[in-house]
Amino acid sequence: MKKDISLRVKKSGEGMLSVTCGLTIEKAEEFKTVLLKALEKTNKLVVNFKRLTDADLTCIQLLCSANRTFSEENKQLLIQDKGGSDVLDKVLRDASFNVLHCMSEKYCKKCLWKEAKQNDENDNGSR
Amino acid sequence: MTKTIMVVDDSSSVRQMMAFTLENAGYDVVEAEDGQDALKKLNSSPVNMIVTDLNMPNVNGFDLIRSIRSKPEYKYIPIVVLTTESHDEKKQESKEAGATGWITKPFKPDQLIGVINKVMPQ
Amino acid sequence: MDAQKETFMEEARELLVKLESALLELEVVPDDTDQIDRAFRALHTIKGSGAMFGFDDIAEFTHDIETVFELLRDRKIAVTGELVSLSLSVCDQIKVMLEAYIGGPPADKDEAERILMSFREMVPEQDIGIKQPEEAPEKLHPHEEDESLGAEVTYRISFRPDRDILKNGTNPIHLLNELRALGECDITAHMEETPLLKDYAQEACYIYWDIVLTTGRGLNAIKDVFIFVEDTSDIKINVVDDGQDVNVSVDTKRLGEILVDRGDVSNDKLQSMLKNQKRIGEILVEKDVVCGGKVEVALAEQKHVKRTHEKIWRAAQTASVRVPAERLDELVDLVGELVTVQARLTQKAVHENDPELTAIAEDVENLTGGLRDNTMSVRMIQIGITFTSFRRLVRDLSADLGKNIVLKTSGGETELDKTVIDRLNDPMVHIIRNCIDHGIEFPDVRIQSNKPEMGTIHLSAEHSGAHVLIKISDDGAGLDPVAIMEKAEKNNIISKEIELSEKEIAQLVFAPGFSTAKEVTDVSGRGVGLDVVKRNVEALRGSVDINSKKGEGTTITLRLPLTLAIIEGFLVEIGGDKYILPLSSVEECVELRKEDSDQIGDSNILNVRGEIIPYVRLRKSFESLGEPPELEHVVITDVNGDRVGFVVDNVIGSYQTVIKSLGRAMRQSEDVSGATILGDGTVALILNIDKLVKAA
Repeated sequence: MKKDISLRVKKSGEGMLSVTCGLTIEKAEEFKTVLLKALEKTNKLVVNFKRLTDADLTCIQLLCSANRTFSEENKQLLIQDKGGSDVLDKVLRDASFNVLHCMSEKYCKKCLWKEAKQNDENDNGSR
Repeated sequence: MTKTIMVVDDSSSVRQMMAFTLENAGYDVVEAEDGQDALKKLNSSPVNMIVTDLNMPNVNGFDLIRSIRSKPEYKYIPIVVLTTESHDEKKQESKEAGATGWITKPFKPDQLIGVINKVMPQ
Repeated sequence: MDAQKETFMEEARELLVKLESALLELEVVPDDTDQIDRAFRALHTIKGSGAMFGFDDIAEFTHDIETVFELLRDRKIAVTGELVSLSLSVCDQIKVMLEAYIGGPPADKDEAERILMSFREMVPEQDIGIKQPEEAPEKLHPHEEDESLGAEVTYRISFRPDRDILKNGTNPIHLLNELRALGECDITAHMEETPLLKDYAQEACYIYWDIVLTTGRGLNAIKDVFIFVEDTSDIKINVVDDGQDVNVSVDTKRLGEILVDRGDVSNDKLQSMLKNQKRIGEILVEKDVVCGGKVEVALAEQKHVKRTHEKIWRAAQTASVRVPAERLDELVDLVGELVTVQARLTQKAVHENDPELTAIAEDVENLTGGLRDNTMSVRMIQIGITFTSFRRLVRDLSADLGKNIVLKTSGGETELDKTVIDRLNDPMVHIIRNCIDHGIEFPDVRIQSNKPEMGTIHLSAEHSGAHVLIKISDDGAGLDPVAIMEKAEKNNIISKEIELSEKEIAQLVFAPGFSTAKEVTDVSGRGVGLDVVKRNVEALRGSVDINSKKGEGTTITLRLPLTLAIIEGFLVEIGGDKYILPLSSVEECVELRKEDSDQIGDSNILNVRGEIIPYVRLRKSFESLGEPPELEHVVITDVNGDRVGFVVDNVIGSYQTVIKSLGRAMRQSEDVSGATILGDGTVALILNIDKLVKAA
């Protein structure tokens, strides 16, 4: 059976994580376990949220935690086609990540959401 | 996606009023007449939120909340309790059992919608 | 009866049947807990649902009985035959009460009371208090009622959810959205507490928020949002800006001020950082005084308040109609004419003694009064805009001089006639220039004299009767009486021998040709002194006063009439001519007999109830012909704080005076400030009592 949260590791050591379910608190434990596994098995992880069906605060928190952890170990975490998931966009907006003053930047080498911010900038300004 | 709210109360008139109000607000409603009935129905149809009375035969409100919180699929579902008590005691007890919020009887339809919006807006 | 009530009635009937059968079972097996439970729940539902659907009498009646059954259920008391029969009568009573709602006979209140009494007797003493009758049922939103839709207020909200908040189905995002629905909202998310993956607890909430919200819904509406989480989460709500003083705050709070205000950084640290010329936010972060997040939050707050103010400003702009000033002036002139004509009509009506005409005249008088007030109020504008325009002046001039000065304002909402405000600009610029140039010391001097490095100029406006007081104060060096005296002597303003009080010395700065600045600076030394200010203000029928304390500062007070077009006058007669005194200065009138004035002789002093009051003979001032009457009148007025009398032939009374300016020929006369046309078409001069006193 195909998993909702599946990790594929290429020979190069690059990992592909694709999510085809909702990432809400119910799935938080599973998501965390997969992220930890990816941390162990890959040096670069690309996450695909195109088929994400739902998301809540735990989803953002886990991604930030993962980004920070990857940063610490000099590994890369990327989100493929940022802005390609309405579900993720909405939760980021609702939790006020769109105005993005992420207060943990100094822990992360590169913020996961910074680029998304550029696209949203005009949108926020007029709100 | 229309969200489904389960209303649990042994008073058919209260149940009916809540169902009427919530359906008008665009929710699907599942009615249960006590805790036991609620647990049975939870197994057969997926529910996004529960509004329950506390004082009911068979399985009362507190026991219902505790059972729901022990089910993996409903562990984090929002649960609002109906209480006739204005005292904090019952609110506290229900919060400890795992309730998300409360609404004090008697209440008007608008107040019910107000609480639903706080916990699970459409 | 609506469907829901019908459903309840049906349900209640079923419950009563259940209750009855339970009671009958209990009569046989008194300790059957299942039956006790069934009976209790039936009563509980009748009570609870009854209250929901408006069957208040039933809910109330059932309340105490439910209490007894609760005791039964908890085995605090035992079931007795008496209790069962009483309970059965409860069933009957509720049935009657129910049927009364659909046209049945009304329930017997005495019977209900008798049942309740017997029930209460059954409750053991110590349990009487076990279940107090509920107070008025609590509102879902306990704050709802005092929620007032008032002015837009900006709040700073810190929301740190309890770490376990997600466990019981709470989604804080909904609460944020609720806040957004209350008004303009800026939310900043904090993530720094999110741990590394290995320490991450999947149910925990690590994120927290700082929120700046502007809403007119009141504090309670915000508290309501957090009602389910307030016991466990850390929620702080503070007012940042109450939106009252928008004019004043066009320059919104500075970033540093906000950080100090929030307690994130101390004022001393901030001040020492300010010495650098970099942007304060960068510096604070660089030096690790405060983390970047805190600065971002403060910046968000600053931006928010600024935007809110702009919005209010714009709203104020669009809510008005712009009309060319000339059209308004024309309207005021016409209203003035109308007031005059109306006065004539009133006089005519009195003369004719015709009741019908008198009634019409009264109506016209009322309408004219309304029209006059309305027209005058249209010309009134807030002085705040003028105040705001001085901000730039203070900023630029103080920077030029290397002084550190902040302008504070209050009472910006005070309204004054447009003409007055327009003509006030120059005198105020002059005074403010003086404050900056001569008043406030250089920073090093200030530090030496134990003053804050930053000087303050305060502009305020307030009403005082028919006048508005505008005060310009600084916390500078104050006037130096010795230096003023020296200068005044040197410039031949006063002679050496003269003894002056401190207050009188201060007034000297308004004398023509006076300037105390050691060197003429670019700022205030433009060849005009404060005497010009005085002249300009007096031309507006106002006055200037100065108060100063050496080392502490100076306050200049401008006293201005609310309007220039119409005043409340006090009509008097001298030698057959009519004159008008401003009613606002008139305090009382006393009689002056010929023999009394002869006795006093030429001293021109009057004894009023033991008080010595100097007076001016207006007959003399205006060289009136003919003999004064036997009985003259003295109008006692307040002239700049002193009581001075004016002797007139006759007192007529208060009079709505439309001020007409005088022709060029008369403009030279300082004794009169204008003229008006009376009801009978004759002209009356308006006296300038200030000048008359000085001339006498």
